[in-house]
Amino acid sequence: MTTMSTERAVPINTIQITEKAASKVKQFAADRGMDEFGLKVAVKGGGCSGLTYVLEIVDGPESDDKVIQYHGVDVYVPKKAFVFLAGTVLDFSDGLNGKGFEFTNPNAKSTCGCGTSFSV
Amino acid sequence: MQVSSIVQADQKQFSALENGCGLVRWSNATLIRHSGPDALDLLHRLTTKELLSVTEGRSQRTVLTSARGRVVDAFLVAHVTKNQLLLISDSDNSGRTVSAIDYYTILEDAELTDLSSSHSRISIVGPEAPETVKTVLGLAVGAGQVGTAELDGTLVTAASDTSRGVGWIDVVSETDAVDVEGSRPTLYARFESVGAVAVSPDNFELYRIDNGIPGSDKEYGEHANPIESGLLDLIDFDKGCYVGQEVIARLDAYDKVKRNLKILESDGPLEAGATLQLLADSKPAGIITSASSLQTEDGVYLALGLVRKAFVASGTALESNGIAVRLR
Repeated sequence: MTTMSTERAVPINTIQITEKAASKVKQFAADRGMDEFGLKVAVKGGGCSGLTYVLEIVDGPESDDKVIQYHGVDVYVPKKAFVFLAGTVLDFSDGLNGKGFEFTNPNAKSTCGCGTSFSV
Repeated sequence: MQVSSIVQADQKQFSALENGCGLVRWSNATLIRHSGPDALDLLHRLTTKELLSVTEGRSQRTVLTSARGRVVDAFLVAHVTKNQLLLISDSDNSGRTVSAIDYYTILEDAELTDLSSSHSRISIVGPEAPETVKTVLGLAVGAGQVGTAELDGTLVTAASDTSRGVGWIDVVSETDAVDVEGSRPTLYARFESVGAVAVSPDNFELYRIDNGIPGSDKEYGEHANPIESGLLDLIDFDKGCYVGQEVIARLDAYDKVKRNLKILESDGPLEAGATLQLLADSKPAGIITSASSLQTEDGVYLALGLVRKAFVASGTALESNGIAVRLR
């Protein structure tokens, strides 16, 4: 578990995905043959630090999702999860040392070694 | 001069627990209904044991730890019917467990209902526990199994707990049916009528200590990790992530656990909470976590303690408050 000290990257009333992450999401959707799609970003209980990020390519939002658009990708965030994700930046890193999708979450007080779970 | 009298263990109760069937009444156990399609998956993600294989009619004890790897609670997950779990814990602080699970319930379709004040629990303990439950409830509850029966219109749940190292079946029902005298025989009386022996709290405490069974907020709790407090068998190291997993895996992989749970023997009564010291040079050696006030048939007093690993070798001479302590 690592203690975080993250500067706020984006306004606290939204979440943001970088151009690289958006490009990767579009690629995954194309690989699945999906014309209509969005990226569901959520949080569920579990993981070393207690809260785990959820990323899923879906064909549309749920009724209580907050919808945000970045770089041509619709991002769906369930309202109950938004409180844990407000101000988060989603990036993608590849290459030999790449970690895949990476969250920079200003709400996270600590995160586990693999970066998939956090505590607030 | 105050002279304390020696009280010995009740051999009838002790014999029932060891050779037959004892009835242990819990005055304030934690009983929680966890219902909904996501309940089991959520507990699987939060706790130390693999739970996805706990299908309907099965039970498994597991440990909820904090992100720091300390024990929040250890509870039996009884999968009673589809999407209906009953969580049974020795803790007398049900609110702590409900709050901890509720904190991590975000998008999951799962609901917690605290039954601790409306329901009661009896533990049927001993090698004849399954036969006794079958006689009274008509249920065949094998190892790791759960069954339900209806007695006089009241639902009774019986769940096997294989984690204690002794025969153990928990029976849960509404308090009126278990304990309250009325026109019908109580569940408690029904078990006594077929030969199960009522065990007093102090005799059960001695039995628990004698069998090295860790107790809630004694051996395990927020002061200890599950490895040192005798809950190692409730950790699946290859199940993947759960809350506290990174800390617990590190403790195990790098052999960082500093204390072990040990059974202690002495010629005089010990005191829970007292420190243990090396007899030779008074170095701190650990802490006593449970102590029985009853003397065994062999004339010794028993206690449980978290003892520093450097001093756990059999035969190490310890003392506590001037009383010589032997490690079993």
